[in-house]
Amino acid sequence: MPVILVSSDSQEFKVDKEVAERSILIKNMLEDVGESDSPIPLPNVTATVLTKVIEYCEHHRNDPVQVPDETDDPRKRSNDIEEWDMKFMQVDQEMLFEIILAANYLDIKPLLDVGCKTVANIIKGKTPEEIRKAFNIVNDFTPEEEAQIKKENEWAEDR
Amino acid sequence: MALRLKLKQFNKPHQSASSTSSQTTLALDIPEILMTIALFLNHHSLTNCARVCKDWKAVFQSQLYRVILAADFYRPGFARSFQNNISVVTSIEWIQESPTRLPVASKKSVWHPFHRKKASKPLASISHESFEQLQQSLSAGPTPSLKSLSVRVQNQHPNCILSLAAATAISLQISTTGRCPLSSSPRLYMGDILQSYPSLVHLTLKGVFTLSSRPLGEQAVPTPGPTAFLATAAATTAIGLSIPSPFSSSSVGPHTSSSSSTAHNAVVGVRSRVADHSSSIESLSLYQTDISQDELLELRVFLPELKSLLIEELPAHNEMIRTYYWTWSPTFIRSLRTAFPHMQSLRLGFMFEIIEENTIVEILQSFPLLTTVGFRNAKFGQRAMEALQQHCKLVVCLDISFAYGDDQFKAALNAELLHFLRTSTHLRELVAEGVIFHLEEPTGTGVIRTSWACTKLEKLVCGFQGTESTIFQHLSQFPMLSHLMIVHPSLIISSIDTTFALMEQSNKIEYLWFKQQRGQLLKKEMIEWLLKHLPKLKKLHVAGGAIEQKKAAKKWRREAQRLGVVVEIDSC
Repeated sequence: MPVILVSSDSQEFKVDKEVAERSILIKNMLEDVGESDSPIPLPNVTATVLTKVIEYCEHHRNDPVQVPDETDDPRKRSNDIEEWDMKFMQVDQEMLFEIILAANYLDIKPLLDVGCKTVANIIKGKTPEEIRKAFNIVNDFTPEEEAQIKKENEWAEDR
Repeated sequence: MALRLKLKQFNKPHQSASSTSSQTTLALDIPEILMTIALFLNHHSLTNCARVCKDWKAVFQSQLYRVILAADFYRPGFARSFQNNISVVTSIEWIQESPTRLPVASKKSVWHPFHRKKASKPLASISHESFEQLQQSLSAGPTPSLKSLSVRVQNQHPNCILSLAAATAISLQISTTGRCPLSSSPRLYMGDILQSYPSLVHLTLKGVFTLSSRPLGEQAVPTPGPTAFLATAAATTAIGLSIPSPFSSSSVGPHTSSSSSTAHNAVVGVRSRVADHSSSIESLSLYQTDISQDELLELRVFLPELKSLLIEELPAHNEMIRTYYWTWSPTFIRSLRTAFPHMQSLRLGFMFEIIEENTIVEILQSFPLLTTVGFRNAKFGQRAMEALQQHCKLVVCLDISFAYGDDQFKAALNAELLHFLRTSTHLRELVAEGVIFHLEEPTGTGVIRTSWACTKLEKLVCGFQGTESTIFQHLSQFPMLSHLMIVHPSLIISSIDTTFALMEQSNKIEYLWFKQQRGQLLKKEMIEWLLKHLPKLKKLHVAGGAIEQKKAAKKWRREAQRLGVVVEIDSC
């Protein structure tokens, strides 16, 4: 049973319902709308990004649906991204964050996790200045403030 | 001041010049996204991120306190920064370090007080100080974000954990190891637990102590009407702590009614008379923690919403101590049913008490809504299996490990179990240690006779009789399999391409356990192949094989760049 998704730039994508429902947002929309063939507008997602998102959902269509656990183990690792996902995420930084934003908006937790793991891998090993450069972030700390934070977190350095 | 303005001016053009950085900035402006990224970072990266800018500090700083170890309180500056950030802590796991495993002072840090030779205090009291510091830190300020608390103490009464101010906790785990010096059979009361932690949904107790509903001699004070309320700050004052602010509404279940708190201030505040607070606890797990049958039934007042009950007897103190002395009767089962009408998951694992098949059948008949059923070390046989299929049609998780009986009994169980597996489409987990499935050889047409209907299987623990290729061909029916434990036979897994290749669709395996044939060395190619074809693998556990190979296996794992995989090798 196909579902029609419409990107912000008015491009239409026909996908299987099972694939579309990897997005909890779409899944809820479909439940609310019921038996309707009308296309689903996604004003926050452009066609290029939607193409990538659909590609991910197609590949992972048979994955067990993750149940959100209140007692989630906070100690997650980022060095276990599977090969297909790693290749999938080999895009430029702008596209990486567009995928993350789309996954967040569409509520596709596994895709959001993979995207954030990828960003985490970029962050690892970088000094604060290198992180700022990588993501174009303005430093709004004074040197004194920054030194204060460094001192406060000294205990965690070799943890 | 002038310096700061200069820095800002310097950075501004850099940012506005490239409009292509907008998506990056947009994404990184969303706290939820930063939080998700933070979950994947270790402490060192988190400290770097906390220095990037103010918005980042607000998110990344709190993640440093996700898991607190007792030894953390000895790191210079920790206690103070922990207290400063207490309001954002979401999860605390406090494990009392055993005296033999002292954290080693690294050359970088200035841990003079903890240098082993200079330690003047006995180690037990040092840990106690650290626990007191945890206590103080939690009482210092409100902890609106704290959802999960797990504390393990050694040689102490579990009651001490109840003094930790964490009223917002949804999930609580109390573990004890060693023996309590003050009492040989320490007792914990559900009433007390709920006074300290009224928002609990999940409760786990581990250790050699006893759980009771309320102290002997206390009268049950009936709760006022259907909208029973939860203990408020006033109740905890009775124990000598104060929780300054009320919890956020999202963390409290539907039973809160702050308006009735004033009316009940008169009731609480007197330690010996505890009002019965019904709670929103949905799951209760007891590992070795004793509870009598009567006390369990008494708990119905405290746990009306109970959905999941697990009671497991484990070896404690490296000895086999019998904890549970239960006798089953239809009356008890009926009472259990009346006490906990919402029960969906029931898992029992008594090591000394072998539950009779009649009892199992009786239980299954009484709880038709069960989705998870576990009877380990019980007389789970053909009749029980029939009863399961007849009465508990919603079962998705089944654990019937180490079923007790003679060969004939087990053969009959096997046959019925197979029938179940060939007809059940919703089964997601099957744990059947001690069960060996005979797989028939493929016929001339290449069709495997024993095809199971439960293709959604995610977890499988069992043994097989058959050649390696038939086993793995059989396993290829389960594309969602993530947790696999092949208990029998001992495998060689030499011809990788033909065996695991047959599982081409089953690449979601996260946990793999199998027995290596005795005397066989692990081959590098096998580990490499496994790591390559099981991209989601998190833990590889091999029983058998030489223990000396653990180092080699870890080396191959590093070469394959799969450091996230935990490798365990135990020799049989």
